[in-house]
Amino acid sequence: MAAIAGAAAITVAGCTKAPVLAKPSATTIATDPLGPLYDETTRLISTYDQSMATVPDLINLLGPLREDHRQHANALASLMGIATPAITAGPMPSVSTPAAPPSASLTGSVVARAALADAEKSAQASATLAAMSAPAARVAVLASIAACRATHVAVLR
Amino acid sequence: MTSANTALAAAVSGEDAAIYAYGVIGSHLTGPALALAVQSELDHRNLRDQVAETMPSPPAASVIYRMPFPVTSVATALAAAVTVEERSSALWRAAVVATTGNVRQAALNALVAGAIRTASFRRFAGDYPGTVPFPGLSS
Repeated sequence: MAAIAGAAAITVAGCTKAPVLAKPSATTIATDPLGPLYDETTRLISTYDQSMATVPDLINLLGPLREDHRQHANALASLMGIATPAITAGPMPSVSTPAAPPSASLTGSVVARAALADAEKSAQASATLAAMSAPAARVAVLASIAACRATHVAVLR
Repeated sequence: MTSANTALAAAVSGEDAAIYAYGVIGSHLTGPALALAVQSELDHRNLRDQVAETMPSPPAASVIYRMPFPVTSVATALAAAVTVEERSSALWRAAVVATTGNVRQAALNALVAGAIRTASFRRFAGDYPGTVPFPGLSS
């Protein structure tokens, strides 16, 4: 156990001599206190992908939020000492598209935003709970994830 | 002074700096952006007072503050608001790390509130949706 913890610490610290980790370990995800938060994050990313596929008008809004979650998944993987998840970058606002809020006139947009806001609110609570009980080495990342999710709730509503 | 007290003192000092900054920022804004600046100043003032009350020797406000850059327009006022909120969020993030229990919860609440204000000012500045993955992480 000490060796596993040590490896995780080295990886988090960004040391170039960190051991090569093959792939996300199901055992680690199941036993690490951050495992449920990691799983919730990957599920959120899938939900964003589904929402953008259903309502492409929302890509300007949802693309950047989905990217925030992808970075959270990477950070959580690093904290747990597992490999970076194979989650590719999603669609982002095109350069030619004016930076403006998408129209909320479509029922699909309103429904999708409301569902995502609810999911983000629940995810914020999960991150807050994790931050409150986390050791100092993990709490900074978890606190930022909780805060990020709060900004998502605010912009989705 | 413990690391928790040091972090809280730094965060309270940051609140004092933010209160000063919004006095400058608000003079260049109108409409909804001004309303957000006014509310933000009030939020910082309330937070400063609440946290300072719990400290045996809270830090005194500085006599002189300096804006991060000259504020001469709406654009620079919004940019300054973003910078002020980012700096405040970084201080509260450090306080979250240094504390436990109810104090950690209060520091986390402050980080969350600061992150929401930061994203709001980014949107006023045209950066949509204005979120970042790790609020409080110093760039």
